[in-house]
Amino acid sequence: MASTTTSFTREVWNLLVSNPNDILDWLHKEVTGNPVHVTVEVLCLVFIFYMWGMKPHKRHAIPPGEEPTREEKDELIRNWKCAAYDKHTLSEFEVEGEKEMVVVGYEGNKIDVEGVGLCKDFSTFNHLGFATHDKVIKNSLEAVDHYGVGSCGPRGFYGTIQPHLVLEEQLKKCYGTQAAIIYSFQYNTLASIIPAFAGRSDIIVADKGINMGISNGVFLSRSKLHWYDNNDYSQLEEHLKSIAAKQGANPTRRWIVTEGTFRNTGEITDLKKLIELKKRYKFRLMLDDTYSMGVLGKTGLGICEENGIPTSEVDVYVGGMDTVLGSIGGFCVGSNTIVDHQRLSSVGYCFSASLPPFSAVASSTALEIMSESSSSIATLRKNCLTARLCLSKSGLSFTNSEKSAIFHITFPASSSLSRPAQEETLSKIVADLLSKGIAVTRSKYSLSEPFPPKPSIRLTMSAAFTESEVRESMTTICETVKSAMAK
Amino acid sequence: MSKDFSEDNHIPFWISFTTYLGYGVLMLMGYIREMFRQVFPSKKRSTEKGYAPLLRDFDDFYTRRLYYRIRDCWNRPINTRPAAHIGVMERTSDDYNITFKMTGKTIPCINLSSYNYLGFAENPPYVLDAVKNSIKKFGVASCSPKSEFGYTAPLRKLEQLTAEFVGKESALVIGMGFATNSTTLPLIAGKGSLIISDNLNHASLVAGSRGGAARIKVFQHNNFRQLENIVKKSIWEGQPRTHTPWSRILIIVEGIYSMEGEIINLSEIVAIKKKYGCLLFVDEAHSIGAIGKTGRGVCEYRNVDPKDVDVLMGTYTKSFGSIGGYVAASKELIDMLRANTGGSLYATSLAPATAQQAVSALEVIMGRDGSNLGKKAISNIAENARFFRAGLVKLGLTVYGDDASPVIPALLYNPAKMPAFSRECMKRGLAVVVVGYPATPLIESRVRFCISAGHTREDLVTALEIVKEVSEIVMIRYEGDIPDESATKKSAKEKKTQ
Repeated sequence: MASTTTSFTREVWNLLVSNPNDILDWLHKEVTGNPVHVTVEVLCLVFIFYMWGMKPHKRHAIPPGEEPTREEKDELIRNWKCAAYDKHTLSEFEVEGEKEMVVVGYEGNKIDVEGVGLCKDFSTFNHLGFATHDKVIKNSLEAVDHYGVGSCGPRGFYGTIQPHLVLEEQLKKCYGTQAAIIYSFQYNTLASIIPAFAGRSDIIVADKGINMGISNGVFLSRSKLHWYDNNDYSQLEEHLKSIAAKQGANPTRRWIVTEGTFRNTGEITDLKKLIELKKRYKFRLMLDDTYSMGVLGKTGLGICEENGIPTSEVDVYVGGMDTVLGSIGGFCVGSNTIVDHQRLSSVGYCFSASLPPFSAVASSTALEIMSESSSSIATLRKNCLTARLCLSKSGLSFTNSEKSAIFHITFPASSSLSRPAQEETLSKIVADLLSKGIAVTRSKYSLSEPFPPKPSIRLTMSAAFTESEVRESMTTICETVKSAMAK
Repeated sequence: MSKDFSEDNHIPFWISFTTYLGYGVLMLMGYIREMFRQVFPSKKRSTEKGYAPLLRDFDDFYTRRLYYRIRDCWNRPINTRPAAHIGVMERTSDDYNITFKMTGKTIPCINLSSYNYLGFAENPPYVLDAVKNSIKKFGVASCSPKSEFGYTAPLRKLEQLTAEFVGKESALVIGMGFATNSTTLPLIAGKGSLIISDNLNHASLVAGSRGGAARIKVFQHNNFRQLENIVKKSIWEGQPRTHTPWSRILIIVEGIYSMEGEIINLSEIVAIKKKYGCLLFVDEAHSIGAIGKTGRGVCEYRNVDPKDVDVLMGTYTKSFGSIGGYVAASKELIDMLRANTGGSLYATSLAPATAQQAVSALEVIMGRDGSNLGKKAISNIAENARFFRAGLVKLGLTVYGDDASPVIPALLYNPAKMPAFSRECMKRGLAVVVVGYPATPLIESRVRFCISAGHTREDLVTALEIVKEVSEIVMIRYEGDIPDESATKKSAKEKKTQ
């Protein structure tokens, strides 16, 4: 190639130097023979020179002429002060003097709180007691012996350890989907998945009740957002209808994002209605079912099992291993396309260390036990019913959904207290109940919450209690709450 | 002496030409196959009527036509702990890497891929016993956020010990390193703030910067003059449109850039930050524990007072054999974060056993376990890193990064050399990580070696022999033959920093 270039250059040089008259003849021939061609070529050359000669367009934040002088700039720079991080001022969601609880151990269905002692656990999401189950602990200890603790790398770089594959296979089989993928942190599982499937030109219709982990993902995707009130299906349908009508025959990727059981309210979504709507208006569905696991469904697999709908009907189904499965991490099950795409495009999967092997082993063991014995789920259901009965009798406002194991007890609608005053009352209730040996929690929110829910006491039901224990504890809780709210 | 990234990185013309040509051929083949698929559509990949395709055209093209051909080089499963020696589970594929089958065989390999800098993946008894006891005492996980009943005693100890170790007032621990950045940065630099971020920063820093209301400007890696100019201009110009002064300007850099193997010149950045009064955030994911005389990271290595860095962030994944991340800063900032970050309010707290692993690892490093295991690990990794890097340079490979960095990238350039190098090394019992676009610039594919304190001298010598053999087959000895003297001489840069 180099030799032909050289010979061509030599030819042109010879032509130019040898006989100027030949060039003029050639030019004359071209201009008279192909005037259009020559005109186009000349115009192209002129355009090239024009672009080359144009100064680069400088975007001025301040128009030239109004820019400060050098002395003015120096003064501005000298006088500028960076805002320091001052002493933390409490937001309306915080309570002055609220102590942080430190857990120093557990015993059966009680957690050992420093400075308080053993308290009945009505707060953690360890509904079926797997985090402290003998078999789960035994298998975890063996796994730590064999694999150590950390996986020392992301999945792509030898951080894929055998227990991960076993767990993914197990999840795939349990949920009857084509594939499964696990994440090392439940909180940002759906937040990592959303941007992989929705971008600037796409649309997301989200429930206002979703927790902040999911809403972070929805904002990060930069898609056009539409919100509907918690479980308000008529409002949802309005949105879907108008978007479908507007887009017509050229749809972009359109998603409905919601939770199975809402962590912030304890309410359960109407899955049948959602599936019907999504099919009618041609939307896809992303569902985070973490808080239904172990509670809904005959073998605790969540809202799809409860409604007899195959999990594959939900395009992106997300669950957690840090609630009922008593471990850490999250997972997503779905089609091969959905899961394979995440392995390359989901930032929380690709650029993050994988789940510790012993946590995967713990989840596997818990999942196995849960699917084999539905008796503890039945006990959990019974305990939930008992709790609901006590709460109804007491006249307190609480979560509506009957099958939920998460109860949010709120102030009555008629309450005239300000939010900080309500939060303070709730904080006193929690401290009072703690001194009586019952651990519940006050729902705490960040000032970054897009739609902060009402102040509430949250209690989660567990299968580890007998019916009389539940009744006794619920009576104490109801009495304490009622008397505090009456003040 | 390996190449300083900031020096002239002129890639020889022949190499860049052939690399682009390689990509060109791959893409042409890909497009031809795409055209066939238009004519003979695959039922598996059709979209249901009325819906938009699930994946965007280009994302999918790169994955199906380029990545899938060499997919077997990544996600290789192992069935041992991620220590200096691992057992890689052999896989085969009958359908060109779309699905894999395990053959049941395990390939023993020397592990130059895992982030096991101080060797805690080897399970030293002091740490192992403490972890097992904590599982028996606290269960497998807390199932509750830190703000509720997930704040266990090991987690509290970890926060205190971390703050002490890095030299800051207070620390906040979150269960995942990635989430530490993505949930705290939006609060550290909120509305009215400006983030000036290094262009090579990690995805978690980018996610955290974008997740809040702060504006972002980017500066070229190691271009401190550009950084200073951006700072000056931002101060006198103020916020866009309104020109009100920025409330905060936060510079974000990393301690060690893992794709370049380079240790940031922290003293220069601190000088700029002090001159103009900005804030500085350093992500020490790869540098904490791995560099510095007592393993205290880039501040110790560069003789910078930790008080001069406003926020020190790090992870427990690499040098401590655990999982999770921390931010360490003033008490005021940490109190604000603790009350408002999703990572501490809603997310399940770091499991007690993993917190205990990090606590015990820190105790070993600080010498509080009564042994000199920590000291030995720190000196081992420094020595191993230097030895291996010098060995690679002697072989004539183009090696990036600083001598003290345990992350050692060597350039392959050509995309086809990635699978070639990876597969040939695997055949000979060496597990390596190859990386290409988009983690690196398009024509700078590389192999990235991660050295551990757990590697013995024999391991490294064997590894170098394998690399020598494979580098001849794959033809990556771009620097040619290196005479003995220059490879073993200490670099002038090293002399200056020590």
